[in-house]
Amino acid sequence: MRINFVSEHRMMGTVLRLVAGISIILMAAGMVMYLAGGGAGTGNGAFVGMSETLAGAMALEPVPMMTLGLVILLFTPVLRVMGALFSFLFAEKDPMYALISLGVLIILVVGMFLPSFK
Amino acid sequence: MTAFLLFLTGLLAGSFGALLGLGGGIIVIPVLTMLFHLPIQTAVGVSLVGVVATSTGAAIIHIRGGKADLKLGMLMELGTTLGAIIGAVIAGIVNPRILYLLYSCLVAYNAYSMYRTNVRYEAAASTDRASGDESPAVADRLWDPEENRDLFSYKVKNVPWGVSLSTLAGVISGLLGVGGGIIKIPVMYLMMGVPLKVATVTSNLMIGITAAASGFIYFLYGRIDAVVAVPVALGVFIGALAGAWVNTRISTGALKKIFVIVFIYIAIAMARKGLGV
Repeated sequence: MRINFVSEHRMMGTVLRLVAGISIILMAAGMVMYLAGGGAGTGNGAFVGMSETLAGAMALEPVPMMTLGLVILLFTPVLRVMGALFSFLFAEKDPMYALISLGVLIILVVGMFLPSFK
Repeated sequence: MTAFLLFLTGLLAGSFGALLGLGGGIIVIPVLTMLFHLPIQTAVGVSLVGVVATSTGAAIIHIRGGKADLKLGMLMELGTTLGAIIGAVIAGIVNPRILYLLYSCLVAYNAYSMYRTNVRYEAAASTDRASGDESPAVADRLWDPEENRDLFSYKVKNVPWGVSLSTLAGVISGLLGVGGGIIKIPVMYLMMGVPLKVATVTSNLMIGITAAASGFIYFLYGRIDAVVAVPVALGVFIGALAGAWVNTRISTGALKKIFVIVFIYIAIAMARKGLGV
């Protein structure tokens, strides 16, 4: 099997920097506020739900801000798969690898919904 | 204080990971379980966040160089993401003692693999010196920095085997919270005929996607505590950037020898936890 070398688009680098930057700012700001508020120990930062997290982050609550930063960080690799899909679809015009990237994306999305089927 | 120590753990894991060519997971998990006495499933979840931070941090540095092979990465990710999800689900069911024992085996293999690589690189470096070539980096000779897309193509062999072993790497990643590069890189380089540097950077793209696949499951099952994971992730991120910068300026041969001994110690300690002795 022959694979021609295809690299990630440079625009993807800019998007990654932006998204990773937002994630780091949220996590760092959340942590500083958590520590400033006298937060100590562990065990109170588990995920409570996306809508509660968003609402909490909007209200500048430290733990939801950190949680949202984590979610965004975990989402950055998904962005890279989406970038690959668009790159194969529009730049490389390679439907086979666009389909493969879509397959990876579907597996990732199914995985995200798996915990709700417990 | 706890948050600062967690940040320091991430910082060390990220920087040593970048210096030694490892994901941070292999350092984060022993520290969180042995020093912070966290359950191994929690440590694995936090480690997965660290792996994503490492991969994204490295991507930000490397993406301008355009070194990762997207086609190969996506093809192998079909198996790896599936494996990672299976691994994450199994990790929630299996007895933690089994996870400690598996982790011990992985760290021992890591020590062996690092020792072998060190010997191979030293042999290559001495051959280079004898022939008047001062460059010790084997990988750099396999990599053409002025790559041309039309010319830079290679015959990828053993694709079904590669994808199957990549699936196994995914299961290990989801179970034990490591990137799985220790399996993917040799598979791509030795079995599939991919140049070493391309295999390394493609593996880095893949470990982030793989860790995100299982990381979301850990997160949504409530196994990732933001208060623990955030200081570690921030530390890993900064450490990985610093380590990548230092890596180009120092020789890591001696450091690798020290870490071979550290990893043997960790492997024994984790095996004892697993066996309950």
